[in-house]
Amino acid sequence: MNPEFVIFSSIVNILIVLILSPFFDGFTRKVRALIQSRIGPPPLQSYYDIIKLMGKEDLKSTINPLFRLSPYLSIISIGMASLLIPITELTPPLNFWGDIFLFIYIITVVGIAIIITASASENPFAYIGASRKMMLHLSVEPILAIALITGAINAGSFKIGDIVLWYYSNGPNVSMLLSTVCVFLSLQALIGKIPFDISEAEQEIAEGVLIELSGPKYACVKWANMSRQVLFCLVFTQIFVPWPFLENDLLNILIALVKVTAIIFISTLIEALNPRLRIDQALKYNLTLALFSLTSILLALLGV
Amino acid sequence: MQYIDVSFLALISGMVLTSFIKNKNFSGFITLIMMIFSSFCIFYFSLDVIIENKFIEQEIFSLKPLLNSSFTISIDSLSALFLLIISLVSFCVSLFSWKYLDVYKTNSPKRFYPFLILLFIASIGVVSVKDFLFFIVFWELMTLSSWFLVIFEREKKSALKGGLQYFIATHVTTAFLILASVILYSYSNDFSFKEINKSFSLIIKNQPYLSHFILFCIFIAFVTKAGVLPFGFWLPNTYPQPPSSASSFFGGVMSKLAVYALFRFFCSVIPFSFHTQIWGFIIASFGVFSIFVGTIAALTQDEAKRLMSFHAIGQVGYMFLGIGVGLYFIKINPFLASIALVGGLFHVFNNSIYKSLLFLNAGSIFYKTGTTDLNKVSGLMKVMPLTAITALIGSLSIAGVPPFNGFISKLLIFESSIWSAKQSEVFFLIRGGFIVFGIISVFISAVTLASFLKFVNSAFMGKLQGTIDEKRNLPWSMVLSQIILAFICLLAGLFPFIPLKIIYNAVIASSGSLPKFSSVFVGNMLGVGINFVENYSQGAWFPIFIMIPLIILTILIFSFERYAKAPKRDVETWYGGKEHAPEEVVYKGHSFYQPFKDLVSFKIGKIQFKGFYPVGIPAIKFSVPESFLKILRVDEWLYYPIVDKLTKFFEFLAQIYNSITEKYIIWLIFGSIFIFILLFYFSGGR
Repeated sequence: MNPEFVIFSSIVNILIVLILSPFFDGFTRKVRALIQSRIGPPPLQSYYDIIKLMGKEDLKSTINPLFRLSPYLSIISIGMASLLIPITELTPPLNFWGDIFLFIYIITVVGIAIIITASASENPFAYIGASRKMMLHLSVEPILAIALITGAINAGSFKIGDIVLWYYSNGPNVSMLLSTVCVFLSLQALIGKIPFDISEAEQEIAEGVLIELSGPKYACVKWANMSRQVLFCLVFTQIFVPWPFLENDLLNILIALVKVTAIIFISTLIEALNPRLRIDQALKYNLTLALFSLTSILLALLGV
Repeated sequence: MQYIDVSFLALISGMVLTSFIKNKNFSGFITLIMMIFSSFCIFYFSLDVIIENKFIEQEIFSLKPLLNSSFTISIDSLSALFLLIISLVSFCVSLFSWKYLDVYKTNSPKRFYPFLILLFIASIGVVSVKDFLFFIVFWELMTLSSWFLVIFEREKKSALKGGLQYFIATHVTTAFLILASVILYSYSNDFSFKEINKSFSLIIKNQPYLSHFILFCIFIAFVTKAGVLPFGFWLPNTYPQPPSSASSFFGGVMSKLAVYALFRFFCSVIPFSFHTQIWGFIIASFGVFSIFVGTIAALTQDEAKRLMSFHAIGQVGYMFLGIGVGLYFIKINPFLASIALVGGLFHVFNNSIYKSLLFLNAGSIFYKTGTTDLNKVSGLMKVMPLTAITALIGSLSIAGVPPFNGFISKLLIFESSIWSAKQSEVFFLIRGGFIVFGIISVFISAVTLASFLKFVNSAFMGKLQGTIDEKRNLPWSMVLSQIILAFICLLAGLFPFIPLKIIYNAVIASSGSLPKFSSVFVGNMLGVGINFVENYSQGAWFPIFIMIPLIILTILIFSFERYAKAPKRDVETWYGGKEHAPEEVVYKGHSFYQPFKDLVSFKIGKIQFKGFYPVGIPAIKFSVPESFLKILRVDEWLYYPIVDKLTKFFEFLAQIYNSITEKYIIWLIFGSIFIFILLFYFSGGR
């Protein structure tokens, strides 16, 4: 693996996940507006929001230093996680012998950063949001882990690059298809959109984890949420639906963008047409799905 | 060798001195000085042994004419690894307890320091003898001295109860250990591990059932001490009882010494065979059971030290999973086995560091507030920021978040248990079992994170509330010991190659016949890669390089914020537009994860399960036939009737001289005549 490839594809990954994410958010807003028969904001509105919030007044409800630091950690860790997704080629820029676990842990760190921000803000609403966010993460993390481990058993490697390579060249088998379906069913919970936006429920707990944030911190956390959407859609499209891949890097990037747009469109449809679940319903849904997805491991062991 | 002698001398003199001193401060100071001596000596000595891969043996005295056993200090790399851990943790513990004991106003330090030092001595002894008899002696010494620490606060009922449970559980299982030693002695006619190793292959060949029984005895003794469920039922009641510095040593070292003993017996004393392979699977399954139940039960706890005790159970499970996988696959795929064994032992090292750190954090909370109940404390970040940061580091380490030290060892354990899918010669269901073990441990590490975030959030974050002793500030010694441990956590996570090499030496020294370090692990100071099969490298994990994009992004975003120049203003907390006093709207530690707790709590019959862990077990009632009970009441049918008869007889006798003088004189005369005759008879008529 040459360093030029690493640097090039890390820049591409970070660009797509961090810099393009407000655009995708604008896209979802437009789609939602069309469904609700409104005109909606212009597609670049989310960029304007973030830039404006960066310069807004920063209200501090506490002297806790973690309250100041952890919003930045959330956006940075999403940038880190994006390095583990193959976009330009079949191998991601960062790969080593355990990167599926590294990926699982990094998306945990994203959650931790927001939870610590929330609990450092001293607001009881934020505490409720933090508790819910952790529970949601607890229930949804095993699904992604099981899907990746199924891939690891099939491919005989713990590297995301090898899993994608195997999946791309051998085509789908029963176990991988099953885990792909499971990841798709949990995608909305991974992104944290309706029906699973329980930790930020506006009408119920007044944006929960975000309640005390303002100015640059709010911009960071909002940006992190937008990027999270792109990140998990990329996980689904690049790892679990890796077709088609071409020789040309730029074409690969274009294909990835098209696929992500399609998935975000579907996810926005689900978001616009569904009500929010209660936390206990969400937990039951996710844990049932996790138990069900264990069958994919057994199938992978059988070699089908 | 003289280093060990010096450290023993320092420890023993410290023990003797502290048992005479009533002043807490002075007594703690003496302990600290002695501990600095001895832990420096041991640290240097064990580092020397590890780096040069030495094997040191010295006979102190022998019981040769009586028994084939001798008190020999013999240290290989495995012992040296544990000596390293003991020296680090015991230094921090004694540094912490110097000022910490001021909290206990009424209790004398004479009941603490001598036993603490005795515990240090016993744990050093346990790892440095290779003789079954003296192993049991030190093992019992360790149990006994820790029991005295458990009942430090004798006036507390819970301490006595926990102490009793501990005493009974460990002693019943030590009986199994003694039984195993006697059986082995009858075959080998020598207590030393070397001879036992030789004779055990004979036992396996001739009497397979007996060898299974011996393995069972050894297994149950160490598993109970380590606290693996269901044998570790005593642990959550016992570990919170002693002062936090002692519980830190319990959680950090004592329960890990059981893992050491298990490793020593199954990997080096007893030769690898089909039997140990079966026991490998059993060890792994018990490990996973306690990972699952122990950690989910920890989620439901509201008391900091009890929460950590449940985690002690859960974390020991990870080590047992690693060792079990290693034992199972050592004949099938030595690469996989060595990775699993190294993962298990590396987790021992990491766990002893961050577990003792977390117990010390709980101790700091107790020092400041007088309680460790998470519902009663909050917002302590403002009064003890360094403790809060170290607690956060400890929590992230125990959850295995990169780049802290728990990550790498958990990674080795996960991967080795999941890689068993590739061993096609193993039975399908067993492979499936190992993979499910791996997935459960991945899931549980998120649960670990959840429960420790609950600890950090409810104790350190939020508004400053509850009972706080304003005058009592955290002394530097207590803060320093926490910082040292937190620093080791970070260092071992960033540079995993050095501890991996040390631990691999330990594994090789104890179990032999494993592939070379360089063929399993590749890498340099900065990163490390592993091979599951020969020459099958998969790229290396460079924690430092991971930090580079992180730092670049941080600088970028911070400079953007600086450029935007957002004005700052301090405000009150916003309660959705209503005015509340802060104490009206508190989110207590108990409320965290309530829906999840409801999901894992259920009732079977009359027993309430909370997070799969039974609470409030109703007293067991059973009835036996009346006649059997009558036999048991010896008083009723034997003692009282006889006593009644005898009293009546003596009352009758008493009437004979009923205060009448004449009768009395007659009695006297008769009596003296009788005595004269008696004397005459005895003198033989002369």
